[in-house]
Amino acid sequence: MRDSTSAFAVIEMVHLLGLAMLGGVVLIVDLRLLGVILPTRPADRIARDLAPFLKGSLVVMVLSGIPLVSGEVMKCYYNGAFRLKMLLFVLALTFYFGVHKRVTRSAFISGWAPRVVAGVSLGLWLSVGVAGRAIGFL
Amino acid sequence: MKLKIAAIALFVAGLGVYPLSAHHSFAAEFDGTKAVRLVGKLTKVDWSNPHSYFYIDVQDDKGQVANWGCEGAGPGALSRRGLKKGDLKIGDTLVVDGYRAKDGSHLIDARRVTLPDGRNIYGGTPGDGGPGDNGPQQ
Amino acid sequence: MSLQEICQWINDTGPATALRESELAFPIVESIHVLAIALMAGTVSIVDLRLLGIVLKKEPVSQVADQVLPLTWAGFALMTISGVMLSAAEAAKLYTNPVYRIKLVLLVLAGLNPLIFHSTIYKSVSAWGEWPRPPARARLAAICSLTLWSAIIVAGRAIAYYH
Repeated sequence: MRDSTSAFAVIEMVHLLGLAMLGGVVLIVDLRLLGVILPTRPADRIARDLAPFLKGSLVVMVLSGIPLVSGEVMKCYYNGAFRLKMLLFVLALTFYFGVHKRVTRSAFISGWAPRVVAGVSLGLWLSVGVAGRAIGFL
Repeated sequence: MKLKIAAIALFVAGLGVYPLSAHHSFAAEFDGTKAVRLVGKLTKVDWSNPHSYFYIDVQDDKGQVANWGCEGAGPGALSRRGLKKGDLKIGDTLVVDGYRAKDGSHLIDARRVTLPDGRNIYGGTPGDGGPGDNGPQQ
Repeated sequence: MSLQEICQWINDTGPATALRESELAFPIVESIHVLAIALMAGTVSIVDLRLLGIVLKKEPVSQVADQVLPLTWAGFALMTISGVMLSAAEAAKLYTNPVYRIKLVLLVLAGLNPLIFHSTIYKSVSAWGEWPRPPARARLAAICSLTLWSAIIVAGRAIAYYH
């Protein structure tokens, strides 16, 4: 494999490793909010403790995603799955920083609010992943 | 650990300054500067995922016949563009426009396939970043 | 029958052929395989980070392992089922793919690591589960786990680039 061909492959692999970490953190935090795992441990502490890894893996995803798109911006624009993925990604980010963080750090940690927030979060991030997969198939 | 994430992020950002043309899965295997048009009789069809393959016997100007493989998108993408498994019959004459494989073998990436009935089908894999990768409308 | 003939036979069976030639099924199975990486490797990575004393330090190791590893197992089940299906559909091509063989070897190692961990150092977890820094053997198992799963993910992606 020549240098130029392996650059794409390496960046793709970094994107995939970032996906694993991001998905892992989202699953642990949101399943805790749903009361499915670690129900006796404090949800806000778990969320706060894992937040650097969520943010770090988001950085990895964005920084690896940019070169994957950069050479053919117009072609990605024409791909419906890619546009949907970007829209869902922005929604997921907005939801995380605007709602999710607030709910997990506040007094709303019990009751139905954290469960709804966790459900929406899981749904959004899963949709981003599915849209990403669809890019190569549509 | 934050340091490691920052290091990975920097590394990925560094990769981002690679020549833009390198950043496609198309470029990993095919040479975008070696365009070719093949005309030949269909000898075999691999109607498979992740890529389909059409094999055609091509006669060169010396009268020698060589068998060439043409790599196309998977069955789902081709079907959505109007090409179904049964549309091609062994012995049909196909005109395939594509790009040569980097390893010099008798393989091209089928960007455009002209069928016996005159129809033009875009053959590339969605999102691979190769020439003409503009979604379903080509 | 040689291994190559067995792979060709599997490749040519009805179900494997149907999956390989499908319009929707293959993309779906492959997507499950890729996305379930988060469920399997993502969750186990957090257990590994706990074993390294980097995250969830206030939660006892036994709690984290007992509560999170079932998710890892669910992910592993999804990965195995989808992986076997994909392997069958591509059996003829995969036989000659060196990276696929490497991935299989790595998977065996990734399976041995927790086996060793759980039958040795983990047995005394009630003693060290709340230490600020778990014992060296636990940290070693965590590093092996993180390294092996990362390598498996990389190898899996590399399969497409080799013939």
